[in-house]
Amino acid sequence: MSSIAVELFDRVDEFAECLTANPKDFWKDKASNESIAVFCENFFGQFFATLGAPIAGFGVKAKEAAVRKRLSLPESAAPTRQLIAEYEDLCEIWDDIKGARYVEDREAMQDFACTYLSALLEDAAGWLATLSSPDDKLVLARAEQCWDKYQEAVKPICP
Amino acid sequence: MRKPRILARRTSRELSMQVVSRSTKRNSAEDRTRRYPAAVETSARLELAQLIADELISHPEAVVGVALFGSVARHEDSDASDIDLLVLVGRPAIGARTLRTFLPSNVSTQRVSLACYTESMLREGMRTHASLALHLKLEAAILADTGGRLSTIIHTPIDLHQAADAEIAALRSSLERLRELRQYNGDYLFLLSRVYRISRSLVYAFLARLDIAEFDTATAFAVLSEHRQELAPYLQALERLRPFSDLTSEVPSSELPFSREAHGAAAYALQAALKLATA
Repeated sequence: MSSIAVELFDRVDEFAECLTANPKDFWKDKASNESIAVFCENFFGQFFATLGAPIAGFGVKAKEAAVRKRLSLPESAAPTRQLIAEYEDLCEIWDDIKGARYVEDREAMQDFACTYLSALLEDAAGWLATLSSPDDKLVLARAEQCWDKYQEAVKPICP
Repeated sequence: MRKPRILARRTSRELSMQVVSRSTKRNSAEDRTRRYPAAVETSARLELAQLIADELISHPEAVVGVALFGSVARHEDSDASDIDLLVLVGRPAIGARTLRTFLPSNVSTQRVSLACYTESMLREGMRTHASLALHLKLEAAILADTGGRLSTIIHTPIDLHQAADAEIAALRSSLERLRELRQYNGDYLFLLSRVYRISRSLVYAFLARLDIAEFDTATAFAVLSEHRQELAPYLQALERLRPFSDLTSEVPSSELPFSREAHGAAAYALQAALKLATA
């Protein structure tokens, strides 16, 4: 079994397809917001499971635990530490972008799409590249494919 | 082949610096922070909500109105409850992040949720989300309102049946994104949390469709079961998922009804939600 489910990256593709189809109002699309929230939650859930430090959410306590975990890792584990830092960043903005049914926060979603998600996908690929199992190599290939597609999709909406 | 980043990004450190510089800019407002109590009980949360509304409305270029809704407005809040504020903003580019810069730093550390809408977005939101419309019409407390614009929107009659149908269709689409069970790699915590929240919204929408407005979060599933008995087994199964939702929200939760790794139970919960969405 791979560390991260390869099927999870289909959710990023759905979000990218929404950006391409509807660059002006992508942030109003609840289903694609759902897709990217599912990706973020489960990607980090599975990532922290590989570290033996399962998470249950994106709140204040979860972030504090992540900081402790990051600081406990050696500098040689840079890709892992970087991905934990991405999680900490997400905890900061999660309330604004979690795909809540009611909230249509264009500012938050624009920042998320243009700044956060691109970096997360790159750092995810960086971390996956450190894993050695054949299943994880397949996930890495899928993550890089997904990142390429996302980079193209996000260009028109970012200043 | 990895490519160089084409987009600027903020690192954790930059985010921290941003927070520090924001606090520094706010030094002149430090005196005001003393007015903000730690919100540990309903009355304190209500007071804090009003103080936040006063602060936000003092930026008339950005904020038109503020209303309190959710558990605090209903006086059903617990220690871990968010203060849910609906903020009517002047233009769509203004979001929660900008609004938080208007608030003293000790407020941002508390559980305050800011849902931002322009007037047109709010009208559309109430037309297409029966549960939002019901929440606002039944429980919203207007805390600030320039020219009565927020109050006018909330009290404008809407077709709740149409709003319920639109919301159910949207929730069905959201559920579709959850269906692929392999994507969870054997840990269904976040799936079950989402299924519970979507189901709760479905329940509110069905109740709106039945013209039932007298319920609260604790009784909504049971009230719908009384009126739609053929759905009762599904509703019972879905209501049991609440501890998963509480767990992901860092709300003190009761014991989980089954393990977060239980594949069969997770699959059944998802099926129950899909049954409800297509009922």
